[in-house]
Amino acid sequence: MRPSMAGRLAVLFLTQMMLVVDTTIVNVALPSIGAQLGFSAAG
Amino acid sequence: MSWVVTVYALFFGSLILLSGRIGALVGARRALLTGAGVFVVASLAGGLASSPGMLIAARAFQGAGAALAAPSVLVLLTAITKPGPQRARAMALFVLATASGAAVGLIIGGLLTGAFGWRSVMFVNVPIGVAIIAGGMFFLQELPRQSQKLDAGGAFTSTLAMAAAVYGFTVMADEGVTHPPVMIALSVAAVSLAALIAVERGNPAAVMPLSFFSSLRTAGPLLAMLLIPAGQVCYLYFTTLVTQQRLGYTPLQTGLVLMPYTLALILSNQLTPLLVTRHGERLIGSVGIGGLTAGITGMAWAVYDSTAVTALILPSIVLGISAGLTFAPVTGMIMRQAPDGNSAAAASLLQGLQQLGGAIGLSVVIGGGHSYTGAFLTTALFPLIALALFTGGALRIDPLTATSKGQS
Repeated sequence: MRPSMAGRLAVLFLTQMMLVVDTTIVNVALPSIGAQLGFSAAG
Repeated sequence: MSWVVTVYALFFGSLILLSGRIGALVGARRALLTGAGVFVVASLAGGLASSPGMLIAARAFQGAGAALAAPSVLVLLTAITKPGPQRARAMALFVLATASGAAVGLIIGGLLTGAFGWRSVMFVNVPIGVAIIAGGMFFLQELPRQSQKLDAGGAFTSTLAMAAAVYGFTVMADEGVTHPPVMIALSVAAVSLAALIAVERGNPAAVMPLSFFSSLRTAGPLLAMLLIPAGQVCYLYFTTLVTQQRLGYTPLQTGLVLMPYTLALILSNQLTPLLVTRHGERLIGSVGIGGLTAGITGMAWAVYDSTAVTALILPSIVLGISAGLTFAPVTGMIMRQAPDGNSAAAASLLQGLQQLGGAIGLSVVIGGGHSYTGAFLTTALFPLIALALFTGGALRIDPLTATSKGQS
């Protein structure tokens, strides 16, 4: 694999990873977000 | 509060069809870099948010940026690789990022929140996004752009249809189909879809080219990509429910029960480039989808026959292996079958249908109100129908081994 190919693949892999990670990354943080910003449990 | 989570998926799903078309017009590289830029700014704003409304708005812009960048990832992966082993490796890489991303998000989210507080889960995207933009500007080359204008009718109707469908099915999973907002949203989705079909008929540069659905060759793999995620999302949901409600597990313990599935998926996905190169996308994809059906049926048997957690492990491993075999060849086939100049539309449709499928699957199976066994048996129907659609479509296509010699 040529170096430039590895670079392209790395950029595209990292992009896809970041976009998918953000679907779930806030799930675990929800309780502390709610406590600090004053969300209601249901809202 | 759950809007902090769902608004991202809602904006992503609503804009994904339109953004593929925009990417084709402005260039995939530019769309990816702009989307990543929007994502970085939105993440920064989210981390600085001082009110719930500001955080939800930032998550909406994150979803919009993600939608703008997402189709270009697949378009560029397809454009920079040649069909054959190289393409198969690129598809496996895409599946690796997609399949592990959700689990990685939960783990990183937990670690960052514990160590630095919730704002850090937003700020962490800033250096990553900047690295993507810098790396993209250095490594990626722009692809040829299309000159046709964006049709406003198609843009409007496709966005409205996706927004109403994603919203309607997501709320339906919680509230049922008789909940008035669900009925209104699904009606709006149906009317917008009808309008979209009327507007796009005969348009070769459509936001959603209807030619994708005029032959089973292209429609089969695409519709399989609607149904396969429906099965996977339901498997994850009901396995979580069984372990937490019936076995009384904590979220962390549930995560551990799902680990064999994730690891099996990642490992078998690593083997797909070799398997697809030797045996073709058609065979490996069909075996994978068949295995999904068997694995979910095995889950139904396991929760009917036993309350031991160990009974869940074997079908979960079968499912993981099968999912690892499935996604790369099906994705590869969809991208390869896209008519000339419609690579971006194929990437958009694939990711839009994938997301919609998850929402439809949950709303159908939860709405059915079954026992755990019934829920898994209903879920198994999704990959079963997907198997018929994929194989039916794939039989009209040359196996991959033929293309690596012939067409470009």
